[in-house]
Amino acid sequence: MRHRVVITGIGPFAPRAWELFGPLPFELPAELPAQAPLRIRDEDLIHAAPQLRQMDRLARIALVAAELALADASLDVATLDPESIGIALGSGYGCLATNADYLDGIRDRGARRGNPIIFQNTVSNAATGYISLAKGIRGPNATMCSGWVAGLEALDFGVHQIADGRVQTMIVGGVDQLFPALVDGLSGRLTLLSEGSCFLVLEELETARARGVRIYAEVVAGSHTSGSGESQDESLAEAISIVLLESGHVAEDVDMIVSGKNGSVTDGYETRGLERALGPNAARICAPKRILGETMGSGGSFAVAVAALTLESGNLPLTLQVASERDAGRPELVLVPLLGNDGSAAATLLRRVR
Amino acid sequence: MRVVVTGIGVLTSNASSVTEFSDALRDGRSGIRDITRFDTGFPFKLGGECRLDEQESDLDRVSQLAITAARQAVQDSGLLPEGTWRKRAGLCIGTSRGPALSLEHLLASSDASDRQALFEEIPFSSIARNVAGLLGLNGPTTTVTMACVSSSLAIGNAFDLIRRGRAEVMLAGGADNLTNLSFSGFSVLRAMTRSVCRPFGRNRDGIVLGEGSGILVLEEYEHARARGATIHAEICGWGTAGDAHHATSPAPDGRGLAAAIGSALRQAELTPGDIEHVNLHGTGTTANDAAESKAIHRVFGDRASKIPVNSLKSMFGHTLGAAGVLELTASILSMQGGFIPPTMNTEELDPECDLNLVRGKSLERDYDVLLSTKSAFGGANVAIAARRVPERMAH
Repeated sequence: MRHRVVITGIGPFAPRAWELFGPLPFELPAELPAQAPLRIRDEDLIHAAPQLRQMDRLARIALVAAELALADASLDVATLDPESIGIALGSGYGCLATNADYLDGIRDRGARRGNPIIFQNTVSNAATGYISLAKGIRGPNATMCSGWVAGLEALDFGVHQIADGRVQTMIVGGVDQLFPALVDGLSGRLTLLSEGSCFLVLEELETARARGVRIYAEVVAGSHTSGSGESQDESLAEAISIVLLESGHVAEDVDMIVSGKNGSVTDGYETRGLERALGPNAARICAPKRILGETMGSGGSFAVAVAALTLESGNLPLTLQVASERDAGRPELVLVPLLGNDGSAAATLLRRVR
Repeated sequence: MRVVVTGIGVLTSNASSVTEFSDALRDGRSGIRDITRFDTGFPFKLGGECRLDEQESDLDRVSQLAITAARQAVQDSGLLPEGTWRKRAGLCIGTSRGPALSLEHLLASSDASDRQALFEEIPFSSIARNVAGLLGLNGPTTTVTMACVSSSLAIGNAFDLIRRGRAEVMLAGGADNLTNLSFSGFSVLRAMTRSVCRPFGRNRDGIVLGEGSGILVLEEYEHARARGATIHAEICGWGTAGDAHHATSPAPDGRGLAAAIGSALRQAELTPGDIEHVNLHGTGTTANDAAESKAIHRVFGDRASKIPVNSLKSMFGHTLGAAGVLELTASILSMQGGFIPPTMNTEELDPECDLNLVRGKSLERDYDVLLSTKSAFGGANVAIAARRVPERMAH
């Protein structure tokens, strides 16, 4: 039997996360001026646990988001069977910043003078390792670096660990950090780039109900497709078609879309992909990256968090397009479409739990 | 829904094709030599380098390794390179270091256009993008970055995607490249051997690095049967679990690996008594081999010192993110050939590793069910169970 999976905790951590997840009294202009990349302040990353002092910046950012999500879900991992909870993390660039630090060091000082503390963090799963260590998580453990859809990949992996009955609980999320080569490489392509992490607590529906916790939304389907950069719209339309088919819904059922648009030239592919799959003006669209910035591998996780919060609270986030009369109602089914910036595309469908 | 292996592609320091690999495994032929592609900066230079005909030379070397193995695998599977199967086919690639060479070059370059070209290659996902793009795959494309269990988890993820009906065919495996980053890093961690790698040996003193790529074509069983594909083996289950112990050292009691094995056996609907051979991670480090032995004793009890086990890293090196797929592939080929490949260099077994280690030369043996286990930095563990598909069902 496949189990139903719900979101019971949200942990958004980025320089503008509070603006995004707080009340939004204004509409943004259609065109935003380019802004400097947004960095998380170092003082927000201090962690006292002695065994975690060797964490790199990526792991520190992810740990803060994971702790926010667990607190939001009122979940104390110490009270659970450690093998009944797992972790999955997606990242666009993983440990590349740390790899660059290590390589800079040995270029300057020679291969024999490499820093072993930095080297132990030159694996992208160091972050999930540290979080597992900090929280005592001993179930399934996965790190995906599948481009900018990595956060949704991790969500999909986590959902199926629960749906298949392997565990009752997963914490899943996305993370990316800024580093010079990345900022340089993406320069001029985006209006706003940001580092950040967003974690979600996933639980089996009955487990969550038994705990009596707030249930934000049910994750009903996720998908991932690939293709060439020129056919991203087709890949996205295919991904959306799969989630509708798997969940037994039709295009008209979708009453809100949390867009992945980021002000870049790829936005047009999303528009065309949505039109292909859902028809023109299918549903109201909100675009959280206009506020948050492009957070790369965690972008999908933030979008799912926005969708989940909207489904639970009934409060609409920033809405840039209102398509029809029915948009006045409370959303019941929200679609998160996402382009991977490399030809791939993903989609996730979330439903309100009454 | 059953998932079977219908295509294999490999590139290692001791083989450039499946036939060469199978022969090398049976004969215990090593690919470990002094590294020639770069100056290690250390007095010891041993490693397992691949011979690579650079076919797509503008791509990072790790992508070239993966493309070579993927092309072999598709050819072996009998799927037509331009066929419609690609619409419902995806790719799961595991890598630990990814395109580290491109990152190294980017950091050293001051040329703007050179840096921009290299920037496109540095994401870990560039390997999957390059392979999927070249083969024209439209299904899910995932990159798993879990250090030394990367390609094991990639295979597990691909297995799940087929069972969920997301794809009929998945290419799954991994690739990793020998670079300064790895050689220097493992050396300063004092994890590298100064002589030869001796997994589970009394006097073992560390790993020897290798590079390579392995790709398996995984296919839903009825889909494979319908097209008359040759079936190499069935993947029957997999499991993953974390240690929650230390950033680089395994839990000394082997609890995480034991949990991963338990999870794999449950999914495969097997018991420990069904397993006839275990291909171990066996890095040759003091901590890994001792912890892994504990895990085997936890799971197999009295049988732990009887089941024939091996480690293949002393033959073609520790290929990091590619280790999982290459060593599972080696085990599948060996099961087909009726032998268990030897653990090279280990003469005297560590009493703390009370295992039936196949050593020196291969063991002729008919067997049907095997397990392959891998562990990694970050306390990650993965186990995969595979079995032979009876002749009458395999065609």
